[in-house]
Amino acid sequence: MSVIFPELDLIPNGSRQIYRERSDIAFVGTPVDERGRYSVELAKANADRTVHCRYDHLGFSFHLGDDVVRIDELADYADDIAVRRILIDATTLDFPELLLLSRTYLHDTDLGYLYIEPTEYSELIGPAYPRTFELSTRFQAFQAIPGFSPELHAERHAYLAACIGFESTRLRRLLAEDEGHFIDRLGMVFGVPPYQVSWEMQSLLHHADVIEEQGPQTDILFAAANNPRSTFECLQTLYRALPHDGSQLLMLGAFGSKPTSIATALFACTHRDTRVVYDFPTQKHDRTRGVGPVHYFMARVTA
Amino acid sequence: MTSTTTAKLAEAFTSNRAEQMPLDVTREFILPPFLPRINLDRDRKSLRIQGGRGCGKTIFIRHLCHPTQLSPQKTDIDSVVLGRIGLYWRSDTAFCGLMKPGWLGDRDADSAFSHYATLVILTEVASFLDALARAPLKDGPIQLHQTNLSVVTAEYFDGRIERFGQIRDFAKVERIRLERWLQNPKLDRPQFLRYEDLLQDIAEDLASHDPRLSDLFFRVFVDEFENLEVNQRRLVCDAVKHAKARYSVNFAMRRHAVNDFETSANEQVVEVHDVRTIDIELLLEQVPEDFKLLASELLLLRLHEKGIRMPTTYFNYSKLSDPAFLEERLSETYRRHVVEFAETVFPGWDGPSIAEKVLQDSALRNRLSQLIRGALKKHPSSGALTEDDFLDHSKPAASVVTGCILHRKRHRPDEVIQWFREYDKGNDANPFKGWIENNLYGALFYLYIGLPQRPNLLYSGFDRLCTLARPNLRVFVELCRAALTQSLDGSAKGDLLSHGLPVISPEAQAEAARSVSESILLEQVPNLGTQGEKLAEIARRLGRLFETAHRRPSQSEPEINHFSIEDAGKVQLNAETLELLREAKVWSVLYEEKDTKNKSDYSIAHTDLVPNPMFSPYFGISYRKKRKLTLDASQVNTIFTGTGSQFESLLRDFNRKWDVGQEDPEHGQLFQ
Repeated sequence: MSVIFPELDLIPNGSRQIYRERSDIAFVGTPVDERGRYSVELAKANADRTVHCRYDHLGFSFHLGDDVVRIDELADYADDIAVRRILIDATTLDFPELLLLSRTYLHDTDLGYLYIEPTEYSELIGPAYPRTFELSTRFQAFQAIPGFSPELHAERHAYLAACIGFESTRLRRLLAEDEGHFIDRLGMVFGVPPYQVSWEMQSLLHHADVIEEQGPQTDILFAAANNPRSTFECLQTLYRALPHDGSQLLMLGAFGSKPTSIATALFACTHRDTRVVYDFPTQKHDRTRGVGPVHYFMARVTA
Repeated sequence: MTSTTTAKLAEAFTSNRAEQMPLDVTREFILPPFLPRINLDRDRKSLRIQGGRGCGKTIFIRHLCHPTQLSPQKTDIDSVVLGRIGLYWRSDTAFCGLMKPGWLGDRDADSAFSHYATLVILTEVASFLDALARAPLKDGPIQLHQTNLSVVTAEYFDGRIERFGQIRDFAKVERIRLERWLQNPKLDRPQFLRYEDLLQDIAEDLASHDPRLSDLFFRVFVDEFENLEVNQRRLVCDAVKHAKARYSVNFAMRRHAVNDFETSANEQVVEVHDVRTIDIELLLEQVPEDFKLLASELLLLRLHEKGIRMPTTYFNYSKLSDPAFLEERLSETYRRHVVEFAETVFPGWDGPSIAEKVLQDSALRNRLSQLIRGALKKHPSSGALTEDDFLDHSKPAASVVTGCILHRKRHRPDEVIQWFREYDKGNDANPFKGWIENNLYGALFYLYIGLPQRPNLLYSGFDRLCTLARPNLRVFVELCRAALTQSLDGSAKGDLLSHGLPVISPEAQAEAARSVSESILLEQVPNLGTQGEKLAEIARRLGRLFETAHRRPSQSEPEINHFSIEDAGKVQLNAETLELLREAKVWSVLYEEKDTKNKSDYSIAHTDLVPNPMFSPYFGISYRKKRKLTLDASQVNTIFTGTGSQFESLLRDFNRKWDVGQEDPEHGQLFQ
């Protein structure tokens, strides 16, 4: 199974139409900033129905409007409503929702993703360089998401492919927790080109010591921050390079920009032998400012 | 020594986590000096191995497990080791997170975990059989792969396997089935196994096939017990509580990380009766000399591995993991020799010698002059005395403490000068003797704290590096790596050779201590657990508070570096503070120690809370546990959970109380 991206569009400024055809359903999350509010509005305007959703990682359940569905029953829930095209608001939904929705509607549906860049991230007062963006108020312990968590053991270790963002603590925590026990090699995928010139340097500088610590056991890769196809291809390259004896699987860490998380979700959905790690951050209110470029990505699964 | 050589030596200290080491740690593990004190051969009771992060729990367990005990690197292994052979189990925590009632329901969650435990143990038994088949035992290896299972054992496997050699594949297939079912419990549930009777019967079965196995006993070690889910910990406790004739279940955990050791039947696992605790940190803290011995041997071992020729016949790396040499290693002569060589690598100066260096260093001397001048100005009895009257190269220690003594109102300069002048006359009644004893370190810290670019020589010398790192060998290894790397920076720092060993200058050591301290505080602590950022902020706040105390010109209470909480107010600690206190102890950000000297009459504080000594070099404060600050609950709440401005206000209060801030206007606060 693989994924193609028939549409990777930049929507003209001010346009209310994001694709020539409307979607049957739009899935949206809770906005925490200006672009999020605009994104929800736009999603609503481009779909016949809108459903607010949220993944509850403690209860392994998915909240869809007023319904609460166990995630192993999501497919049955989706089967009840015939859809040809869905729209996922990636601006307000987090990685687990992108992952589970993508899996649910993977076949026979056009998966549309709406994403709006910010013009600025809210910043902590501190050194001028590198700037420290303040995006999350707290992180949870790394937890498995059913369906994406094959076991690691002495005979099967992991190659961690982590999409890198601004918050270096996410990757560091994962490495500190693992202590080299299961993760024996690290691939860091930096968002280059970034949304705005110089943002890639913030990300690189905040991770410089991780690169130094991990030393030669680190691969540095680059994929465009706002292009899921670029990240998908990058993950594909890493996946193909793994040993074929099953001694190492690909572990995916979605710590980067949302378009890279879309690619990571799609990659995990189409490669059953990969593992996903996530730390469920609590997003800071007003973590960004402004409404930047609006993207519409469409993905379709191929045999 | 060339910089290339130094770089290679620094590499010897880069891999410092047991998890990055092989399962067979014969070459890496040094039998700890406390081994005779805990006597693991005494009984087969379950063990709880505990200690902070990096104190060596995992390598300790791995040393007890079959890959090391039956290592092909050994010769003539006595089959007695089979009477307590370890099976290692570290869970995939996130994967175990799927075996929760919330996902599987109560009953299936427990059964799935027991099944998972069984499959892990079976895989380990299969590896044990592999190890046995190639082990250099005294009478040769024991090959049992082709041996048939007994009728009883075969029954557990439902007739699917017949020989011991098939256990691995059985476990592998079942692990795949379990993995698939856990992702989607709507699939057919696997046939669950339980290890309790199975492991007992396998061991019985194995014991009957070779006389050397007649006493076979497995110790199953569950590493990182604290990371298991609550229901899973209960199941482990069940097994601890109900040990069998042929195996026991043991576990390793970080200190303070788990307080509840309840079984599924709501019984408690009881110390002595059910379990024996081996607290590695405590054992290393109790006898500082043991930590120094271990650290010396570790240093020499790593240097030996990089091809440094050992200058003494006393040290032989092959002795380190051999119990036959433990007694010799614990002898005074051996200790002295080995520690002496470590001291050669990390030379240090004593207090008076550092005082001498201070007088020779124009910037430090200038700071001392200012301190004395400031004090003289305040005293009406100073007369014509100037700072130069108190600076005497023949009395460096006395000169250094004078600045602080003169800042105490009760000491008149015209009296102090008399005692100063007579200090070298051998009069035992001269108060300078006591002043130096009690204030020299405090005075030196005061001087260095104002000049943060100067490497503080109080952070150099093998003994002091051990005090900074103790009880954490991982930190000691980081200090070694950083010190060797610092030596790379400049030959001026004198990385000379002595007896074939590298010598790291005190300055390079001090710089290394500062850089490791910074890295632990700013890079490592923020990533510990889910509250790492908060723990790092607490450590920074405490550091700034004690740094302020170190800036008191009078040094009337020198070297304050830890605190206790007034007992009466403890109930007022808020819930978040209490939770952060616990987390801080779990991650060795704070150590809880028994209160040794409670100077306050009205406070009944029983425990001291000591920040990890490794934070000290970053703040330029003392690492010695000398004096504490008693805080009330509201002050502790402010430090732990207050806003930035609330904390700054608290700090200003202490500044005023301690008369800090007026003393040295050209040096602002260092660590904002």
